[in-house]
Amino acid sequence: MMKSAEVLRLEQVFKSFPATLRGGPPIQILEGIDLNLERSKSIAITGNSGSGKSTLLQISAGLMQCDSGKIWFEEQDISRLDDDALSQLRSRSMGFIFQSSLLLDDFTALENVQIPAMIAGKSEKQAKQQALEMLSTVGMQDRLHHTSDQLSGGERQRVAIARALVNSPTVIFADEPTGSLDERNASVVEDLLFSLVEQQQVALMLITHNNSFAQRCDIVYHLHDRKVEVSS
Amino acid sequence: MSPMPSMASECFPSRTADMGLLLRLSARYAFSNQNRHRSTSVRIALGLALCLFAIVAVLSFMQALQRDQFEDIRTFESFDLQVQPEVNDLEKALEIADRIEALDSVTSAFVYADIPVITQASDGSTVAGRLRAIQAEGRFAEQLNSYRGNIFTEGKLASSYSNSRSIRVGEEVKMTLLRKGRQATVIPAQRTLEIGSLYYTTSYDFDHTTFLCDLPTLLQLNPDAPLKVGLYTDQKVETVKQELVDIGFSQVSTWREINASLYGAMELEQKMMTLMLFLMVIVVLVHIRSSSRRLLLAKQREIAMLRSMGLTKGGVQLLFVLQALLVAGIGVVLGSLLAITAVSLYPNLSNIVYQSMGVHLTLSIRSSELLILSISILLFSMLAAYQGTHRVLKVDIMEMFAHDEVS
Repeated sequence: MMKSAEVLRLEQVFKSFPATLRGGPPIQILEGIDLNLERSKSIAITGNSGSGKSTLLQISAGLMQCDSGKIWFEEQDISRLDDDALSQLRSRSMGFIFQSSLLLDDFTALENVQIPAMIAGKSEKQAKQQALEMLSTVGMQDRLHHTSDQLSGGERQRVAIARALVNSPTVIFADEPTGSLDERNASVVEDLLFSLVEQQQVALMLITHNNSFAQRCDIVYHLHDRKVEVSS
Repeated sequence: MSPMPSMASECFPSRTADMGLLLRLSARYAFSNQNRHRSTSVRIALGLALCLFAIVAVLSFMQALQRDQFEDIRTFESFDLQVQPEVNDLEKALEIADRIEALDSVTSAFVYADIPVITQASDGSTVAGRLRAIQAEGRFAEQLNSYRGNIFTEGKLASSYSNSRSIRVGEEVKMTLLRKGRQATVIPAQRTLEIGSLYYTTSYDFDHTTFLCDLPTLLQLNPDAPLKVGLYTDQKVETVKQELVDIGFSQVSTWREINASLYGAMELEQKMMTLMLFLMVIVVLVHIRSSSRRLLLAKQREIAMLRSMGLTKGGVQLLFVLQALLVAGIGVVLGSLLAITAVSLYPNLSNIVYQSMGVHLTLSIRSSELLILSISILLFSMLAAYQGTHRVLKVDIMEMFAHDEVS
């Protein structure tokens, strides 16, 4: 049974990819993964390149289907949800931060944060108000009307954090959020992410290569040889 | 762990993405400056506009030409209807014409006769055509323009202005009377007649082959000339024909029946032209389809982002269908405006067309055709966007992020 404190639980998750586009014996990426994330807690997944960390995050968030196993999110088996239900779940309960701070190029920082709120069903006015508050929280109040190409890497990542948090999600899925930043900016983004996660009582699933970043999480899992093990 | 019932539908009210948001996104994507898609959208819209304009303008011009030709046929060649009286007597034929003209559905009825002739001018040049004798009043006579002399002078012929280089007023011509359907039987022999006047009409073919005279003159030349009653009507010719048959006239023909081969050829020509124009539309639509696909493939990353933000597949499809509609809609509106403007400005250019083609055309746009074309273009654009998005959405969200790899 899923414990009441748990927000995400993976049970015996398996995932493989075909060796080539033409098929061939599949390459096993994940094998019997069991993992859980409690409310307001943070976990980090570390591992070598190609070990399947991002795949694990994508499966956990329902962005990718697993071959077998169960993914429980807020007491629902997300592998059984249809696309609409999954989309609504993503909209209201999940926030994403990707490595290359993916923002909608045609829209300003304000709009990038406002749009997910509107997708979640908020009115334009409400969404704008929330977006303004979130951007102000991440220190981007002076860059509201700048588009993606007018922002630095660190600024884009701060907008991405604001966007991930605008709908007050239960879990933030962060895939190498500081991977493309220099040390100084990475440190700023790290601090910001952890302070907001703590402040807003959001659970965090973090994928990172950076050990010191990972160590700030409550639990660190190491993905090795297709399996996870708690490393601290 | 036992499977738990899906709570999504209970937790979250059923909703589709806000239409206002989708419209805003689609407008921005359609003319995205950041993704350099503005030029593609502008090209698609302009291509559609020009295509629609070309089709509407060509159709309008072609229909005007046909209308003009049919109008000439109905006015000069065969009239709206023809009645063949049972007896070939001028007095009786005139009575029949009066009876027919008394009908409410008939605008005017008149007696006339056509006989085939070969006319030889004094310089030796010949014209193979017909001699038409007709009552000198009514719509037919009103449409004749007199260049010199009085057109219907007893004992004299009226020749057309188009033949005036070889056949002049006051000149005598030798006319060989022929009988329809037989091999150049001379009846009775060649006759010499004076050209008393010159006329011209808007129909070059009619002018080139027709000499005119009054009925007594023709009957002097050939007392057996078959008399007919021609008539004009403002009503449907088939209805008037039925009315005439009902009151006892057995040999009634409409202008369509008399000119069946020409009418059929022109109908076929119009159909073929329409088909060619639609092929042109298909070429443009195929171009739209491929442009739309390219546009969508370039947007994969953004689609993935929107999906990760919680936009449903249906929402994404609606977004890009709206985008396609917006671009195609602009093209359709622009094309329609261009066509309407061109047609309304055409009267200022009609003299140029008259100088080159010799016809005064009245252009008009059939709103039904414009509507069908516009709807076809919009529907196809929607379909192309729907199909393209459907294809893109088959891929996992993370696969759409082009940069993303299994790390």
